[in-house]
Amino acid sequence: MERKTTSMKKSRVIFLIIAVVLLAGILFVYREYNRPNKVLSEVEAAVKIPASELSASYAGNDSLANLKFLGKIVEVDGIIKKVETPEDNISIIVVGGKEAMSSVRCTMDSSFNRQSFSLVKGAPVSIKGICTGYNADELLGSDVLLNRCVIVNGK
Amino acid sequence: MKHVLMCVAVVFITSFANAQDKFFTKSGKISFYSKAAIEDIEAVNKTTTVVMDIQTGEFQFSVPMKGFEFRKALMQEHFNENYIESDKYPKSDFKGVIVNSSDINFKKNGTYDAKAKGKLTIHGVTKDIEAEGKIVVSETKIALSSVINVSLPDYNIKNDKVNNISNNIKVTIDCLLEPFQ
Repeated sequence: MERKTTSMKKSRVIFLIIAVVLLAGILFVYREYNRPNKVLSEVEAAVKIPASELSASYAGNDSLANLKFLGKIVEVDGIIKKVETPEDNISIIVVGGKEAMSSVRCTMDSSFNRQSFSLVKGAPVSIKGICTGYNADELLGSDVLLNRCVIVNGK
Repeated sequence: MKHVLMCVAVVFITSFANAQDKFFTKSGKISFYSKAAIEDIEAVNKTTTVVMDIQTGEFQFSVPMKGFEFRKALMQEHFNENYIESDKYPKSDFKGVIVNSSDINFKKNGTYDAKAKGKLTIHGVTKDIEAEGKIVVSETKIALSSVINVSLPDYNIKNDKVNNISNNIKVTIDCLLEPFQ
């Protein structure tokens, strides 16, 4: 009788362990499947570089620069050349050195509130975002592209 | 000396006139939608560069593939790593011409039906395509819109999960071009 009770207790414990492991597995898969993109203000940049150096690196050899920067979180320092708002909820801050034709185009994260910053042309700024590539055009100039950007330092 | 100055003036005036015919955007919107048995997937890219010459009807798109944003991070990772292989093929582009540009008056406000043809390169594979769309001329801006269907096998994009991702992707183009100054 006592042996039977012990065996029942054992199988209950085993059942409980299996159920807990199964539930944890389901929870992990569910959370992983629905995982949103990280807000970049909470993530450390993989590379910190002056905007003019990033532009020069792409202008020199874009395939090599892609190996270093593409898909990575890059923080650039530079001056604000221009601020664009092509749609109400999109802001683009163009950052660069003194060169006229090369810039880093930082498309700001949708949570970015333009009113919180004065964003004066010529003011220094640090911005981080995900490097999504490079465009070089003889008419439009060349741009390194950063996406989902957040301001690290700026007024 | 006089001839040299005249040549310089002609080159300058010609290039100025050519630039006047160019319209562009660096924040063109391209989105795609996949409808499959298990789930629907959509993503949007707001960093497409488009340049169009209204004199010749020639235009081109350049799309940074890592610029597509998904609601779920896992989908975005799978898109970049397993499907489009954006480390290897970071850009897609289209180079083409509006075939009925004589029907479109770029100097007059209005909505025009447009037909275009050209070469679309995705995942390192180039195909000839034809597309229909709308061109809206309003004051100084030109809006381009079109919907095209892209078949994944045509561009050598492997799709082992047809229940999750359709082999036919609906791509929507919506770009507002400004004059180049």
